[in-house]
Amino acid sequence: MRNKWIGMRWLMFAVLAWNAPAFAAKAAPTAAGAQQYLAAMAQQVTTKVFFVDGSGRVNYVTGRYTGQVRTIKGRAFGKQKESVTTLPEQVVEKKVSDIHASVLEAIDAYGRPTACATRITEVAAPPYDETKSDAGNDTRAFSFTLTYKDEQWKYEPLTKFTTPAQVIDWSNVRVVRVSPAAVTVVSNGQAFAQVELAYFANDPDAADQIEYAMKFLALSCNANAAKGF
Amino acid sequence: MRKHWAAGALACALIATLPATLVAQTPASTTAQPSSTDQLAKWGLYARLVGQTMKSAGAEGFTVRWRWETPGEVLLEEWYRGTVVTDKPSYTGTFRLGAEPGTFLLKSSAMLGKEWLGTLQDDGSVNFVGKGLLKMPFRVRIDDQGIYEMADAKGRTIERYAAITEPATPVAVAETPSPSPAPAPAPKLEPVIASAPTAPAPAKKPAPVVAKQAPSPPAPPIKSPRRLSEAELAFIGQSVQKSRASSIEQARQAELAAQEASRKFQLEYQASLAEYARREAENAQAEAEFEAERAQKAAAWQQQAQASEQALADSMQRLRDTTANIQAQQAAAQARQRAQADAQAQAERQRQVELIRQANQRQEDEAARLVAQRQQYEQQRAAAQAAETARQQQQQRGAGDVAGAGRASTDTDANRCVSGAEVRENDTTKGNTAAYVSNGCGTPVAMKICLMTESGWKCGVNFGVQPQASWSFSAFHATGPVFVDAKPAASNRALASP
Repeated sequence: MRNKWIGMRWLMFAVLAWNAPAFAAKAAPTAAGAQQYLAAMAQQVTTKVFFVDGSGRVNYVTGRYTGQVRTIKGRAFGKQKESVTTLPEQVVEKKVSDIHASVLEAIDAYGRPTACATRITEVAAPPYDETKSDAGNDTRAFSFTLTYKDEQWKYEPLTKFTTPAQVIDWSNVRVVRVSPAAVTVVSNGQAFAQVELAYFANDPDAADQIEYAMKFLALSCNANAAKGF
Repeated sequence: MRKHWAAGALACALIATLPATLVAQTPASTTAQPSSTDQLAKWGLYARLVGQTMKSAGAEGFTVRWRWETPGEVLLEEWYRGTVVTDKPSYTGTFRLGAEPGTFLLKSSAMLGKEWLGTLQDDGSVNFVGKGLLKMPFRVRIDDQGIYEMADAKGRTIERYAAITEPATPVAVAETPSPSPAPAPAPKLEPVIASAPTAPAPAKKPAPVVAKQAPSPPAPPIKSPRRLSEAELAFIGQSVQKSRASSIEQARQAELAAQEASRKFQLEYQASLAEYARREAENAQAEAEFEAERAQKAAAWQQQAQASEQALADSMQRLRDTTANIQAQQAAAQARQRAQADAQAQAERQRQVELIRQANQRQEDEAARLVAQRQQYEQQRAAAQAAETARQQQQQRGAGDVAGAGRASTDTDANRCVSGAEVRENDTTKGNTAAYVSNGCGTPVAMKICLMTESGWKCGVNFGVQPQASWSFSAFHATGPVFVDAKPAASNRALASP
């Protein structure tokens, strides 16, 4: 409820800010308020996070492929014979396509609370480990062979992107309006070369407010900013 | 999602102690102690942790210190980044006893003051579950080496902390009822070799050791936002408006480009369709031509095939006709041969019958001559009747001989009045040979025909061959020799055998 109220208050300010600068000045927006607004909006609109490593790979995880084949052979008369074959392990990799930020906090890379940094504390994504099961049946006049193949692709957990948590340093960011309803902030990461946090708002007005908050933070936290954003 | 939750547990375990603000941090005495053993029991493992400072077992991480804010009532868990314990912790968790025995309330200085409810477990560990929607469960315990361990809900270790200062013993907590807080001991600012933990670690076990680490580079000063001027705020607003307009223009351009691309695509698609239709028409025409040619060829081929079939049928018919003609000619030839053979046989039979008749005639003539001769002898005997008894007897004996000869001739004449055996192959049964004999006698005769075969003589008997009739006997694998015996049907003589 508190976040909602903060968000509403910031929204009101953001709407009035460029329509009525005098009122904006009286309202005295703060960077902490902008932080809370962005954190609250992360809960309300769709976000996406792109962790770009030094090789330019986005949301890149590696994993391991394992599998086994269970074969049951039998005849019309007599005992069945079962054998299990382990498939050779393989190193696999993939790009996790849909990582979104679920918890954002105004904490810098050293764990210190500050309005000039946003820590991506928690992210979420649909399950991306994969499993596959196949069954085969080769039945003949007096014999049969049943084959069960189980395969797993298990990748690094999402903690790869939050341990340590990546932090957006608002003193050195680039804010990009990628579409009328989407805004992205690009920052250098710590464990990753670059971190991008994108908000996909429901309408251009909401995107305006998000962009305003981002630029407010960028300008507030960078004394030498050339206002070029 | 489970993996994510495991990560969340890690996060929550650390975040649980994040302060919302540092303003509230008021260094309090760390020497204040609870006043009874009940307090020790109530606080569980935290009673052992009070006064301790621990360092993350990892190369990096936090240093954590436990101290009383209000002895026996409020316990602070202070987190410091790195190994340096300053007067301002990075994060703080505040513990209070819960309403129920064995429960704790943990309030984080982070996450807008999120709270957890902890429950003391039988094994001494404490399970924490967050209040509200985000449960973020985690568990803490002290292992047998005195290591403070944090784990997620599934028991997977998140972080381990080893002591780096002399811990306060639980006994001291219980035995120091001093209500007045004492100054906290100054924390050691540099990493040191850890001292042995308190019980229940076995005395002989080596104390956990934290490697001596090089001091981390000092963190840069915290950046603080500055207050923006009215002009800057206006600039931001204008920038946002400009950005929005630009993005809308870009979107419009993109839409136009998409429409143009779509139009081009449609044109290309239409052109492709036309081209496709043209090719289809060409293909159809080519197909039709090909089909017509194929039909023409098929018709020609069919015609040829029919002609060939007709020719073949005609040829077959001619062959059949020829075969039939040949067979007819062969049959006619065979019929002629049979007719000739029959005629010859008939002629032969007639000749033989004639010969038999002539023989019979001769016999009759001979018999008549003999009768006349006997009559002559009778006359002669009558003439010399009395005188010459011996001569009469001799004459009578001679007459008896003549009579006997007549009887004998009757029996033997049957062989004279039958024709000789005519041997020929059976027309209908291959390998079968038949011997034909005709009865040229005036009376029925009994007839026996024997044929020599590869396995010996084969004989047949007919006791009633009528006059002028013919009888045959056949056998397989005949070798040639034929034996015939005949007698009058009324004769008692046995037919002879070869």
